[in-house]
Amino acid sequence: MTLADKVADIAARMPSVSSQTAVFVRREGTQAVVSIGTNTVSIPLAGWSPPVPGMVVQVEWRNGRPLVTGPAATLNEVGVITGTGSPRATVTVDDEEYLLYMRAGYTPTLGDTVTIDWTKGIIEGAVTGLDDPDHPDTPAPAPKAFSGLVVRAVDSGRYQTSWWGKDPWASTSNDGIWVYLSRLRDALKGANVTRTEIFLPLQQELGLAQIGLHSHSSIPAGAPSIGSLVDLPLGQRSGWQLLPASWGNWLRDNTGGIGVHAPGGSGFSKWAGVNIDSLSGALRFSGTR
Amino acid sequence: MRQHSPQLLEVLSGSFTRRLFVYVFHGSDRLDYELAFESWSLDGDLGSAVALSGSGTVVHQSTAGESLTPVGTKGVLSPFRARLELVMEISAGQFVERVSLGIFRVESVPEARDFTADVNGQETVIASRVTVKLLSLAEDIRRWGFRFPESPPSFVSCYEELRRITEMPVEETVPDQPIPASTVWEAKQGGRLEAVQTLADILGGVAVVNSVGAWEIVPDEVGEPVATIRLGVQGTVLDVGNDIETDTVYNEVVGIFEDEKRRPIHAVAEVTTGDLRVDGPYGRHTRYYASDLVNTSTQAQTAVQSILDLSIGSQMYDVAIQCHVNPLIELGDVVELVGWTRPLVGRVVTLSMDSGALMNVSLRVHRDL
Repeated sequence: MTLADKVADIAARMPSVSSQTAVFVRREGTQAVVSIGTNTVSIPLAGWSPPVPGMVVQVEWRNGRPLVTGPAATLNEVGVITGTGSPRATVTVDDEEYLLYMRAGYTPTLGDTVTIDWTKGIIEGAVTGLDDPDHPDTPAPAPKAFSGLVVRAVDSGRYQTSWWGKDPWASTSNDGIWVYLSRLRDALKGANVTRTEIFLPLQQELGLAQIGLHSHSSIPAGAPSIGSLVDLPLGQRSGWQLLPASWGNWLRDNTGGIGVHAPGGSGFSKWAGVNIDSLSGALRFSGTR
Repeated sequence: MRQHSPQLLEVLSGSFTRRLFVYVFHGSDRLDYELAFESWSLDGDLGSAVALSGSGTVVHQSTAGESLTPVGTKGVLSPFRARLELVMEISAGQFVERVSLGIFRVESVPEARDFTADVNGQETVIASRVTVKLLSLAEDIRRWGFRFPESPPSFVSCYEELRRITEMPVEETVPDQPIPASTVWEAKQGGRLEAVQTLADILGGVAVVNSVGAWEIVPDEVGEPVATIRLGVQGTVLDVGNDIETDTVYNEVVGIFEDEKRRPIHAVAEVTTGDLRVDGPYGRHTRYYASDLVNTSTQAQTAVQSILDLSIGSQMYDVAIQCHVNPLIELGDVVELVGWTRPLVGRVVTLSMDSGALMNVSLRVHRDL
């Protein structure tokens, strides 16, 4: 037997199965008459006592043969009498009215809380009360820690009276920024960020440099405005560098990105832009979610 | 479409040189290597569970006798820890730009070899060649199962759940939707990736990991084109379907749904006018439709009507195209084809490129009936 024959054999013996729900109309011996769409059909019953008309039942199709396997949903066994009468009374269960027989000896009174035996469709009688046990509080899922969530910059640039190339510089007359469109907010929504790092592909460092936040989602037309500046000491301007702890949550809640600046114009540091180093300006987050 | 400068688009339409190299990541840390990548290929198919796969040979010239051949779980390129970022460098004259093709998981190392030479009386590694097979980062999620069946802690947002179950960045490319209340994720092999695709279904698309390592949803509808494919001297359209297929043109849709109490809801939509009317010469062609997302009769009618409109509105067909390599085109991009007998706009559903100058893509194009 070749593999193809085996596969064909398995496929031929695979049963076709589907299921749907229908409304129970009545029982005729071992058949259940159910209504599906605009039609009424008679389908064999699996071994269970048929319920009251109007109940939703489960119809399973196996290799083209249907079978009513049971009620599709559990009905509430407790209802309230909303209409009296004899031999049947109206009982409302979960906002739906049913007209049911009663156990002998029970006289329905409006507003009675009663129990119902759904296998026979009979009101069993009034109850004096129902236990409503206190459900223990399900504890909220504990926040899960995450780390190493990397979001890359969309674009970068340097500004000196206008935008020049993609390498961010922090120098006498240049400011540099990285922008992220909505990537940071999309990635961080719902998280509590405890640690934020930035990847800086250093090309040259000299003098003072500062790093800060800006609120541009893409490269603006004019000068960038970089705030919340902190010092970026010599020797800490390359590779993954830690940023202030509060910046992660700020970037989660606000549109913005990271910028570099030379305070007092007394520095000259350059980094590769996103067109040369794809990890340039990438931010790495740790926290809980 | 991958990020780029405006100049790169001009360069790509002219003559340029290409070079492919890889960065090696262990976790989110990038190692100090920029390794040549030879005989490479990259294949994408929007229909498969892990959309992108690739292969190639990493070539490294040792500077201090080091070897890149993986030994068990150790070694720079060990499939037990390495992720590779494929980067294509485009240069033309003074212009240089690097385009990241994406981050991949090293799935296997079919072959690895060190070359040695006698240096000062000692046998020393002078070069390594390591052949690797790569898979998109979706493979991480495919391998990671749910321990036990699990339902979302909140049914408000598909994106929130996507972030929770993947623990990866997510880019919100289509409007958010609530999750149906009966959703339970199954604990089985590949269950987490199936959960991701279920969420993508609810959002109306396919989930893929893009070139920056974030999940995004490629919508089912063809939107505005973001890129242009040019047919040059060598580029050509290989195959365009002109066939007319009626097997998927339904003019009657029967919807079978349930409300929250599992009561059946049935809805029917049919075409009553035009060439495809149900009592016309085309005859009846019935389609059955069921969905857990529908639980009111209004929703049911809307759902069957939209299935009917989709079925009779247009036919989808795939156009196979061979064109010049354009590293900016990603799986799922809507692109416009120019330079052929008629203009075409479609979504990139398969893509394959390699060391050669041409690449193959197929576009899924809608054609009005």
